[in-house]
Amino acid sequence: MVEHFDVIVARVEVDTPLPSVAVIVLKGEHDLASVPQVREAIGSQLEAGRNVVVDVTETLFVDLAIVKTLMDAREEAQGLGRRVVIEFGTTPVVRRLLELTALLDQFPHEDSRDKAIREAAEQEGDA
Amino acid sequence: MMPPEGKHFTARLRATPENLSAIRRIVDVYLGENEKTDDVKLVLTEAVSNAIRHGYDPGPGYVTVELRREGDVLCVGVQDDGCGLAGARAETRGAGLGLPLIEALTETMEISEPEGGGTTLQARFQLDASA
Repeated sequence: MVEHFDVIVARVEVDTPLPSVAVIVLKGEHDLASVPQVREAIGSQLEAGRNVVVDVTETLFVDLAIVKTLMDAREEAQGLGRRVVIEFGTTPVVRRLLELTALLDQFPHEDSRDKAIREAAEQEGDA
Repeated sequence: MMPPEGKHFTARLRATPENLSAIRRIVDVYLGENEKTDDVKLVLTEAVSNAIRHGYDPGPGYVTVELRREGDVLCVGVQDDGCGLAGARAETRGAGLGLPLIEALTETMEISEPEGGGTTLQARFQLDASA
């Protein structure tokens, strides 16, 4: 018997609240399937000279492939003199993985959009 | 919520990234709102991702996912028909966190290579019978 299970679409939204800061919002579930989308979104903003806030407050799921993508983005940002800040919320499964992988120990992180943008813009001095 | 005693679910899917979300929906349907639901989703996502990344060359094969309740224990199995553990051992940073994560989230975890080829992961979760 063939059963069909709905998938939850992964969406990536980009906003630029300041000239030097882009906010990349991950909505839905993110895993190996959305790695190219997330990598391209972050990479293009870093290459454009912006610091990046990655907002996972509305993310329903992330896996290690996404964690690795964020770690790679952090390295790329450091090489370019930029920074990546995590804005995180309370989705239990997302928080659990971020804690288990100690990702929040490796990134500046904030629990609100304003604070995350300020943190990201700090080294630019235009917050 | 606990799945009924002896309830057994098996699915065979193409080992593609696009099917990872469907596998998590299977967990939602099987376990419902259980304290282990998120952990089972994380473990199955990592196990199937390993099969996708390392199990097949060239192109995607199939992966079999199994969920079975035995008393207060949930048994989870992931079997692929791929190239075995050699590929998994060649993991790079980040992806190499997968097996330690699975070990951290499960009561027991065992990986084997069946004689016919491929890789089998068997993991067990302790369920809360009072939930």
